[in-house]
Amino acid sequence: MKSRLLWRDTIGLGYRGILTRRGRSVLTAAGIAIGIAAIVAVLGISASGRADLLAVLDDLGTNLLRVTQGQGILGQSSGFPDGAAEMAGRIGPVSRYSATTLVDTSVRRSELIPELQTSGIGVFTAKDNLLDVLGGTMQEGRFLDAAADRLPVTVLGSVAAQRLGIRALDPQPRVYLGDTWFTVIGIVDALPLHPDLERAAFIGSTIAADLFDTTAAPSAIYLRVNPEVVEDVVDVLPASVNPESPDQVEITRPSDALAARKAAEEALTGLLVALGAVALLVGGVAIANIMVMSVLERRMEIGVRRALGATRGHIRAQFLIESTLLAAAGGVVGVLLGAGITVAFAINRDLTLAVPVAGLFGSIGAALAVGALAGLYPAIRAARIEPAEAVRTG
Amino acid sequence: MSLIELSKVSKSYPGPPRVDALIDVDLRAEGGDSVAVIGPSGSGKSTLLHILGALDRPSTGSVRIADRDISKLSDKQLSGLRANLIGFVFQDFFLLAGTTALENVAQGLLYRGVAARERRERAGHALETVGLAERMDHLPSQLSGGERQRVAIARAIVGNPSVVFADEPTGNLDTKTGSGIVDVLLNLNAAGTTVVVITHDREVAARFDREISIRDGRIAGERSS
Repeated sequence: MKSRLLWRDTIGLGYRGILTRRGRSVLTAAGIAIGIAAIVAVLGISASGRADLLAVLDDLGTNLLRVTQGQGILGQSSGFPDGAAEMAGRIGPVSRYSATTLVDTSVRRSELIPELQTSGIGVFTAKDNLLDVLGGTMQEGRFLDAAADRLPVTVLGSVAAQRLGIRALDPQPRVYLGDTWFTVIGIVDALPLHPDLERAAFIGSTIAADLFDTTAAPSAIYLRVNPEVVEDVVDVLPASVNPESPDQVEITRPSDALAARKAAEEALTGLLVALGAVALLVGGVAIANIMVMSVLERRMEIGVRRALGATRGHIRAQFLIESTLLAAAGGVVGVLLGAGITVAFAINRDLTLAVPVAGLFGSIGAALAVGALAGLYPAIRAARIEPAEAVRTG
Repeated sequence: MSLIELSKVSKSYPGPPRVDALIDVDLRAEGGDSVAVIGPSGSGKSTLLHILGALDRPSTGSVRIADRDISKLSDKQLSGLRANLIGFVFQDFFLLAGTTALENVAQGLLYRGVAARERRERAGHALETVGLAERMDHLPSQLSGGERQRVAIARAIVGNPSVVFADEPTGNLDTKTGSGIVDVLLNLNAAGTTVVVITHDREVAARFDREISIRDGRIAGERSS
């Protein structure tokens, strides 16, 4: 003679318990939903951002080196010798190289703007292959070429163009460079690895020498290197480009900056996920709270069920299932909400949408675990209620 | 073999203050009996009913239900006994709010592992038995007191138990409605089910074959007809 409750019916009981107290169930599940939404959105947005970052890294490659002249221990800066770029180009694994030289002048919209107001835009000489070495593309027009080398024409970085208020090349805009009008013949696309060059105006080296007495010694050299031996090239570079004071040569790998940014973003993501987990925990405590209250209110129901033949285990299972279902409902809503936020964010920021599948399933699992844990204590209390006490009326 | 057999049963609550709800009670009920337990409030009749119905255990003494010693059964086995042999009817009906009459009655088969479709079918028959065929889809809040008690009786009998215990089933009803409820219980008894009713109403008690009066936890007398 046994008491038997079908599994289907146990789940049905939990479901009914949630439905009969709709308002309260919604409020209780909301805590879990917010926690899960936060976690999913953070994971989704960071995964989308990371996918973008990796795409940029892949695009631009990790074999680009930037060589500049640092300062000696006394703060003196000697500058590269003439032909330093060609010396670097002669190192075996260097496949391509280009160089820029800082021009001692400013670029302005017109002569009416004070010369000191540079808008943070630097003027650099550039060779025709610079863009090729950097892996950059043109947003508008064309880059400098051999013919443009001696003409008063300039190509603007994307940020420089924006700051000068130049959006299109038709009609051909002009900028006031030093004390000469230069025609803008092109605008370079964003260069994520080279924020300094995004804020630059490029001119030919011949006209720079003519107008501003710019030397042929480069201020920055850009090298594309065989990816296998990047480290070896870094070792021999200082002595090649500046044999007199190799200790002052600074070599950077712009992709490292991106990698560092990625690491920083991952750390931030970890923090935000932890915050979401805290919200989830608080949601779990809320469920436990409500369930304890619910058990007190439902003494009569518990008493009747025991009288009808429910075992302690059946009562325990009913309340455990109810809290788990409640959390699961919150979890599903949270995942949908979080996914929605991610999609909206990705569309808004024009990011590549990436779905963190493990994160999605993980958060549903976390919600279920929180619900089961939160329901444990109330369920045990419910099962401990003495049936004879619960059905006693007077 | 008696269906229910209590010998020297005492039940006390440690308190403080310590309450001796039942003292040395001997009682037997055979299959097919109709028994009324009568006594003033606080006399221990609810405690007696809970012990008779395997809802509670005595402090001392022995209880045998369907030839099983209650003190030797686990919670699971006790629950099994309630699920299969025993039906309860309470003074306050104790129906699940927001659940139709049919679903409330079907709950009576929930802990027997009966599938949902069969539960509803048998619940429908049980509601017909108590004269509520027209009220199956009504919520408890849409039913009168007498109708609610009939639903509760249907829930108690839906599993064809050997014995139905009713704790003041007419306590919250007017005399006429209460009399109708007693009719239902006596019809049940006529069909072979043992019925044990607790009441403090002499008129109600007089309608049952046996009438056991209880006072201060002791059996004070018995009338059988």
